[in-house]
Amino acid sequence: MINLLCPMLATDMTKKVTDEELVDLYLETQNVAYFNLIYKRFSGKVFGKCLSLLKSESDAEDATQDVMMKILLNLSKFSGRSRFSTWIYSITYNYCIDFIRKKKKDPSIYVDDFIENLDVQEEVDDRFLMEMNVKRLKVILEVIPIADKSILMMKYQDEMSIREIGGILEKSESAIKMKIKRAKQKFKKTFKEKYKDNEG
Amino acid sequence: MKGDKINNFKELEKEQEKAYEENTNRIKSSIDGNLDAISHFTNIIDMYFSKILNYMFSIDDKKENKSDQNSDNKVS
Repeated sequence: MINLLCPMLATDMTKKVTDEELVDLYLETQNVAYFNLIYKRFSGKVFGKCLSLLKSESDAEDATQDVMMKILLNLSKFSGRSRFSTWIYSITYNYCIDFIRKKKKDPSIYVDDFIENLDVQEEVDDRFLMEMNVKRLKVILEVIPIADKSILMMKYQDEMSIREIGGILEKSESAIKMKIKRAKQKFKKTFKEKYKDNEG
Repeated sequence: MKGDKINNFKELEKEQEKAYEENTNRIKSSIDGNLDAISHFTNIIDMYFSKILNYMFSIDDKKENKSDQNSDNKVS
């Protein structure tokens, strides 16, 4: 009975059912309406990330389709040890990183031997990034290197822990902390170059 | 709300979701098409697989009966 009502109920339940509960419901019933809800919740975010990293609408569409199909076909493998959103985004980032390495022929992404002449003493406050005007935030993110952009997105947009980010990028927690610090410094440096003395 | 921090990374994400709704709708249509194709394919497999198996077993049975007949003839 609940399956017949599912599409209607699912709409009403959209805001009440957690992501993990939706996954369980789909796996128990195999009712595609539950996957449709998952799709509705996450496809926009997945597409946004793909577009940010791949910088092409058609590549981002192909990537999003592949990622969402992969999620559908592998839902039973979601163990629940992390948040469902983290699981989806880790698939997304890994897909985009592989894409960039293969198709865009940039194997250097995330390679550690990039050395930048940055003052590593300067600590950039999280609020500087998080409270920045949205339009300027978008502009800066478009300009900074993809590796820095993605790590800042993982930390501030997806609210992943250092350990989770380390799992995706296959780096140690200390390496991730250093990468985040450098990414924030590059972000601030780019902001100053673009907007000179104008703040926020 | 008390304790709520401003996070314009999330605001940017919301803006992108709205701006690219058409893209995600298009992708969904494509996924639905793929799933329909997979569903048709598995239905065909389900429909004919059992028939193919039965046919193969029937061939095997006929061969066994034939060899049994031959050995009976030799004995007699």
